[in-house]
Amino acid sequence: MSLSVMSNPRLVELLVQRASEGLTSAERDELKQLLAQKPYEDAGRFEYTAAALLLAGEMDEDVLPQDLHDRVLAQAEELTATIPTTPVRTHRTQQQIISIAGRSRAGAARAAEAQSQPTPASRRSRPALRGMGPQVGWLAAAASLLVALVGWWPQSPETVESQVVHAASLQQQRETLLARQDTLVSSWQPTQDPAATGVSGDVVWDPVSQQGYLRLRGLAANDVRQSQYQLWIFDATRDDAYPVDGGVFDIPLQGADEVIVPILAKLPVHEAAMFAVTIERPGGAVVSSRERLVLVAPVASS
Amino acid sequence: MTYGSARTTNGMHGRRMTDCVLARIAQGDARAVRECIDQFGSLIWSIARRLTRSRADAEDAVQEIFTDVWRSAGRFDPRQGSEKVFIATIARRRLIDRMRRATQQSRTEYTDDIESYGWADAGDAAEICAEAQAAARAVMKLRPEQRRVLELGILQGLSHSEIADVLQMPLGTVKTMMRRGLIQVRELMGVTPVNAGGGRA
Repeated sequence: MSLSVMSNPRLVELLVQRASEGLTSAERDELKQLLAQKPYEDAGRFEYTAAALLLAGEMDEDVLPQDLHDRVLAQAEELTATIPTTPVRTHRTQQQIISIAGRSRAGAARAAEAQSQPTPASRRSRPALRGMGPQVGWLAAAASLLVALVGWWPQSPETVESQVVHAASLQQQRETLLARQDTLVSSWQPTQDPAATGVSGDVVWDPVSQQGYLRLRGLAANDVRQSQYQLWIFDATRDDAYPVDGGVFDIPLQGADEVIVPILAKLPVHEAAMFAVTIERPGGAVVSSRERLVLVAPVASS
Repeated sequence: MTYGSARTTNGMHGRRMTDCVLARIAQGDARAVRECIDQFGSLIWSIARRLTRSRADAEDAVQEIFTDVWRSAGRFDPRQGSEKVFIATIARRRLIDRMRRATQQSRTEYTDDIESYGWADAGDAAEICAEAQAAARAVMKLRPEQRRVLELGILQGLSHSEIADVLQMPLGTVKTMMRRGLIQVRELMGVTPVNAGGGRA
């Protein structure tokens, strides 16, 4: 049962002190002790009131100076290792990775067929990406990447932990997705990064259900203590500078021929324009180095 | 009244979690970080300028405050208040810490350098957020000397002893007025509080 701090005069005194001029170390310790004794529901009320009062005061307009603005952006990078992430998990499971050997011929044929056909004609064109090679497309998107990735918090360990699931199940889910009318398919195009040598595969993405899968063959295994792969999704309805985080994943050392990774987009993707995989520090990057761009999969414009 | 970034009037209970830039930061949305800086940079800068004695101090404080904001983003609950007040709470806490450290070093010139800030009209405060409007209304119901104590303490960042010096009041009287004033305003505001780390001493 929660209590009000108003039942404890000394607690009120300390909270008012905290809200108005701050506490000494001794007072802080005392407050901690008092707050730990009972579950007070309104311990932050005085600070809240003081903040509302501050906002109620006359204040001159003062725009954040640009150089300070830039410094604040830059410091986001330094925080990536320590800022807690609040994972949003609803119906889907955590990031999953699975190796699948011996896909069904039907599935492979369907995937190949889908790759060779134009994707649905419902997407807005993206001149910066359309008709260009993957590297050029990435460069177009990456021109502002230094800013784009600022503040891209790493996932907490529990959210990035890969979970192996039943192979047949994941394969079946992917093929179910492929059978849907609106599902997009795009083939991976490797870059010059050593990890990408000989890589093939594709991305399938259903814009309706916001589900998708990466299929990867030949991608180098990563040492999870050193790095992880990270998926980015460029959305035509969003600024190119802010691709959607598709999650981080690992490639096991002793994998099979093929790896399927479910996409876990952190935000709704309205018009997927390109998928890209980078190598980042464990947990994901805030500011990408851009040197480790491994794969891109531009989505053909209609 | 006049924060450059006062584009929205945040209702205290009217926003969905997914609308909140803080919630999106906590979820790992890179775009939200920049939005946060754009949306609240002027607010934080204005508060920092108000409660620090030099531009260099204010710049350092802003960087610290943003760090605090990002670290605390996951604790924001839009059902309990607006993002502006949540962020202002964090900003004040950081600035109070800095002021306390500075005071321990020495600031004898402080009370000779008091700028005059008063309370905005409730209508103007509404441009900032609903809580500011409620606070502006509430503070006008206090006795003038009590209001003056809150002005010096909250708006100008003076310590209780500095307020006592300025108003030529006993320190105990200042403390009592501050406590009663905050309690009254809180009750007059009649809102559910934001517990911005309330358990953290």
